[in-house]
Amino acid sequence: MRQITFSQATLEAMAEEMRRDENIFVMGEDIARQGGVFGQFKGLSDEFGDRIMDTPISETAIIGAAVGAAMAGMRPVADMHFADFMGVAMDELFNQMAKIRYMFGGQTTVPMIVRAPDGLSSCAAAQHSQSIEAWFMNIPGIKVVAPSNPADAKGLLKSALRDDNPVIYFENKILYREKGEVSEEEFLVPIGKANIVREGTDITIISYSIGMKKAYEVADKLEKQGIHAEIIDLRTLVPYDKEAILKSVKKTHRLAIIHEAVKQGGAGSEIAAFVAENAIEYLDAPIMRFGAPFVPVPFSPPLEKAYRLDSDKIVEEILEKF
Amino acid sequence: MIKEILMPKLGLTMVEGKIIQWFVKEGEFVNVGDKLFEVETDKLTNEIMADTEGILKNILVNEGETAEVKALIGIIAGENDDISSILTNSGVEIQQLIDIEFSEETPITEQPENIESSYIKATPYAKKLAEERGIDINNVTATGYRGTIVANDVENAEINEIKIKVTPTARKMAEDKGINLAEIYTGTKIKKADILAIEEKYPQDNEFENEKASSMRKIIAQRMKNTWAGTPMVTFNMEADMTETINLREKLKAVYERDGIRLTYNHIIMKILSKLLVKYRYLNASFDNDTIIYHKHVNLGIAVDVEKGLMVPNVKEIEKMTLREIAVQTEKLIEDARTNKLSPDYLSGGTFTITNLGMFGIESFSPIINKPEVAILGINKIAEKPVVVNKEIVIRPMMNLSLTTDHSLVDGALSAKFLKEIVEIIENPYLLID
Repeated sequence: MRQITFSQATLEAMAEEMRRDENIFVMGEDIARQGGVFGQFKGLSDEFGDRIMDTPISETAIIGAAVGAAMAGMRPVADMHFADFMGVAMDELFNQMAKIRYMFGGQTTVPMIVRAPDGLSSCAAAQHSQSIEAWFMNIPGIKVVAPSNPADAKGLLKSALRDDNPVIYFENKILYREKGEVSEEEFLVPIGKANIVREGTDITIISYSIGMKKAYEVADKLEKQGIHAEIIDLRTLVPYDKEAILKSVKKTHRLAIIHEAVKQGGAGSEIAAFVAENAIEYLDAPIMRFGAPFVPVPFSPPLEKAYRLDSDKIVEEILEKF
Repeated sequence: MIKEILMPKLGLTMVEGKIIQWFVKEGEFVNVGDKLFEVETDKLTNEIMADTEGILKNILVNEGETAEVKALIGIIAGENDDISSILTNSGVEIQQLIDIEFSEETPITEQPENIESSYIKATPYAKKLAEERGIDINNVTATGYRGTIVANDVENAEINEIKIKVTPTARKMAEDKGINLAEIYTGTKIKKADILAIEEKYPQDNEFENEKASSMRKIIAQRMKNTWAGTPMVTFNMEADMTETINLREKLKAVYERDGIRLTYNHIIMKILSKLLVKYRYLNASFDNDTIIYHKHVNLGIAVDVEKGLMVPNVKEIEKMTLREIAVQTEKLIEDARTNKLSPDYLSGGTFTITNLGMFGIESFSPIINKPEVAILGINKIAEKPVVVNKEIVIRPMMNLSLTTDHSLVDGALSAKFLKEIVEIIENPYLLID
């Protein structure tokens, strides 16, 4: 099968869906003329003209306009440049975008996508390196997706573009350059369905987005110790695939959750609590969460390195529980 | 006031003791004379009383654990006494410091040790497995993280235990009614209906009554089984004409009674043995793989039935004793054994044993050797019997002797010779002054 990058995969998804549905348009900073900071919009304006719009530097305006357009029947895509900037438009995101369909008793829907490049890159410091998906897991009314590979990036983006609810699409900055097999035929990846990417018997490792790279590393290292890890790529955080998680944990009796985001109050906390509530009798070891320490992302290269997940340390900690 | 409780030395040979039971819980108040704990040595069990009043602050050696003599096993102190220095010296505090050092991220505070120790650390899945498979989690050895029982431990435990699938209700019913699940298990999960069916089939569910065996019974059982399994024992029987010995006893009895001493046939036979065992070194010996150990002295044991079982105190260096001394010492040991006052030293170091079942009418039996001894003499009932003397049938008081020897050291001919010589002296007790 052909290999394309994550970035190309999102471009394909956009182009295919924009051809299919003329109500889709894109707003953001430096996306039309420049093609996006990570090239994720490159060439779209050649085909779709003013459906790709450069905006002033105001996240509040971008989200506010998108919510209005969505209520008026359009399917806007709002690019946030960096996920870190979503804070500027927080009222528009969590009070308006998330609540309007509910507040108006379903008289209107808000079919829009917020695209949010997130995660550590290289010395981008505390305000340009964050993973904030957990914030939105606590706000009813928003779907949250976080693909880990080009195929899912395309399939999930296409599903999001067809969804009648607001979807936040977290796309990891490092993953943009990653290549992977993507079918040339059209396909969708459903929102809310996890992917068991590797079957195993001894421990379930759950991750998503960039965390999946660590999940594979850890599983490979465990395999050398004779431990067969089952890896679940969650793909979607809201809603998350409870059935797949329970089924796997009941099989392996151990659970580790890995994400690049801060461990405290992270997505892993929700999953851990869910498993403890529903399947504690199947657990043969404490649930293990692996995430960033509870500090702002440091700028200093050595400190940033220390901040990152280390698969050796994760393996060590997992082995202690056997 | 602070009182350190040490493992008592109950007799000269005791090096360690096992705590069977603490009668007082940590934090409870004890008065002088209250039962404090029960300790078991390889010979016997003793209840130890408190000699200080105060609060039992710490139990350092738990039930089932063993400690050396003079080791610190607990502390009695007043409510506000600071016992930390004692604990530091005993290594307890140091252990706790190490625990803290290794505990992860600071906010997690460990439970106090005494609360944790009563809780069985097992993962939820291990508990679920144990319940499903009918395994008592208390009997599972933990090998998991931080001393936790994990599923794998339960699976390993299962190898040693018969795998019984049973519903929780059925298990409870079986426990209440004293039904042994292992006996009725056929491979399919036991349900409530199965238990009810058993009850219907055997309506008298009180046919059995379970009682936990005493420590003494467990020791006896263990020693008997070990001897039985590991010793080639042969029992030899020979009858003795008691006429002369009865005469001897009748004549001495009256004399001894003036001094308040009771003379029995046991004493006379012991006197005979004390003489013969010096001569028959093989019978007053032990055998340890490839070494024959001859004992310098004859420490003659006598089996005494006590309330809970059997004790065998021995009369030390009996070969130096007169019959009178033997009578006095033997009766004292029997009395002490029955009133639980016996010093453990009298229970160890025996070299030969006698056991008398004559008073129960027994005429012959196969006594089991009291290891590491190599022989035991069973004494039976004296009965008037027709015997042939000088080609005439006469009636004589006869007594059978049952000698069991360890054939790995003592051959049949030697055993027979020894027994024959005993009989000769019984029939002609004047030889005692020979």
